[in-house]
Amino acid sequence: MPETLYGLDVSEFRHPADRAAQEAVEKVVLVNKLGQALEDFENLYQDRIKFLGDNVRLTERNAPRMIGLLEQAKEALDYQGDMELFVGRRYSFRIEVVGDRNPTVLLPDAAIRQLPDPYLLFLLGQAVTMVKGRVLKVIHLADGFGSFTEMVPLAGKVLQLPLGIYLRKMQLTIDRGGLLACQDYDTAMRYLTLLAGIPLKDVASVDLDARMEQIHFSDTQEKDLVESWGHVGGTVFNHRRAWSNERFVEMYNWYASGEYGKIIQAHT
Amino acid sequence: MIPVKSYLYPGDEAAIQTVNSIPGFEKLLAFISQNSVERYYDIVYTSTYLKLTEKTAPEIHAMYQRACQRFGVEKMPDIYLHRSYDCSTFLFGMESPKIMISSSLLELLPPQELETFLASDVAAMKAGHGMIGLLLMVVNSFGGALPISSGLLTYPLYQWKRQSYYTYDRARLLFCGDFDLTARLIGCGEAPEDIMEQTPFEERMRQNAEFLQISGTAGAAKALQTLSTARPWNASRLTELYNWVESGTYQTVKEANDGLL
Repeated sequence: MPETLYGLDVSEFRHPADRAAQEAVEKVVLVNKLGQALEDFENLYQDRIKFLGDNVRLTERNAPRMIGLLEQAKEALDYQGDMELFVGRRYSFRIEVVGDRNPTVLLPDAAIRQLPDPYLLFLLGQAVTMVKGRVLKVIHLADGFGSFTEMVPLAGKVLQLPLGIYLRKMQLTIDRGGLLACQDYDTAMRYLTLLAGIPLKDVASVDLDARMEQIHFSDTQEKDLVESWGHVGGTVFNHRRAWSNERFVEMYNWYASGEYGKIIQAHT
Repeated sequence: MIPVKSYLYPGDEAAIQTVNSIPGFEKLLAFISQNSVERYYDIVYTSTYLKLTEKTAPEIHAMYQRACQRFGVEKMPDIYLHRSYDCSTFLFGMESPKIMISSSLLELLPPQELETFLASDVAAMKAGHGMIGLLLMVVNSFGGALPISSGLLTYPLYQWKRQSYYTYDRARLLFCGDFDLTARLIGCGEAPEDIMEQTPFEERMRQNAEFLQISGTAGAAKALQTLSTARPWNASRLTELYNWVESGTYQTVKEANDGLL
């Protein structure tokens, strides 16, 4: 059972690049205004309609295990607000969250069927971090621009670039929130390894140091022009998520730096 | 034999009548189908997917045979299996209809539920729904080459396809005679089985009511989302089925066809 981190604020574990990206994006007045408008729309109308119309709402009665885990994640991150939980048919281990004002979370059925509790706690901790950190506006904004891109391809793509940077950096903060909720470093690192494609039945036996070596080797290799630009291009156009390796390394570095330990100590 | 009239949803019936009232349309479509699309997909399906026959999948084959008998279908359609996490089937074709079923259905559903789920495609085939699947395939494949927006073609087709799901649900209920089982098939696989078992029907209906009451700007957003998909909301399906039973129509249909069902 994770400990409650009394008085914890998301700004305390926000990744510096996430903060910098947020500040840069917020300077663009148009983005802010659009963000607000889309937030109002998305918050209330978009995905929650889908969840309500097609998926199954989880309650104390039909899913005591999941509600219990959500409560643990909320308690660990010291968040008292309400959150609605749904389950939908998806072969995925990623969580979907919408709505700052009426936070609604969709868990894939595959995650509930297959993942052990600590992993689910990590996922729900990510959801709580998104809500508590009030970052959903940006996610909605990126979704909104996604639709815009289909209509005005070039302009939409250009507008998506800074948001993409922000979203990728934000992911690093969200991962930290996941770790602070489950309070198990091994779980966090193995969840991030699961995302790299290893089957669940094998993830426990993966040598995490070997993965680190692979990343280190790849990062220190000299790259020719095509490889360097390929990496930049891949990052820019893979606009919604940080690379799985980047998330793994960032988590490793944050934990190794002692920051995680300091937060736990300061709030318990 | 279960007569088509007994399970055809009114909106679906109207759509079929509209299409059939266009002079020569059905013949034209049958010609196109016979000479191009269906032949093409014959090749694609037979070279890619497993055909479920008496030898490869005797139990599934027997289920389809029973469904064909109940719905009065003389020539059994070709059944193919594809690997998918979705719980769905897809029917298309007029000359030699084909049904594609997803592997998840076989993994998740117990025999009686599976038979009921699969039977609805046979019922739909009898009702002439092979045409919708075919039209959707044609529009999705060649819509971009037309001088008009493919949306003009897809929206009415989606509307028809959505209505057809209500027909599926009624056919399933008439086939198995078990309302709870039929209701479980709506959105099957959405949640793990233990969660569904602990979700009382009243709770699902409460959620449905909340969804159906969405109005104002949110209602407009809901309408827009509805238009853009070929599937009706699970909430709408459950409510339609419930209303059909509650209104007494289901009982009347059952009694009128006593001995046939």
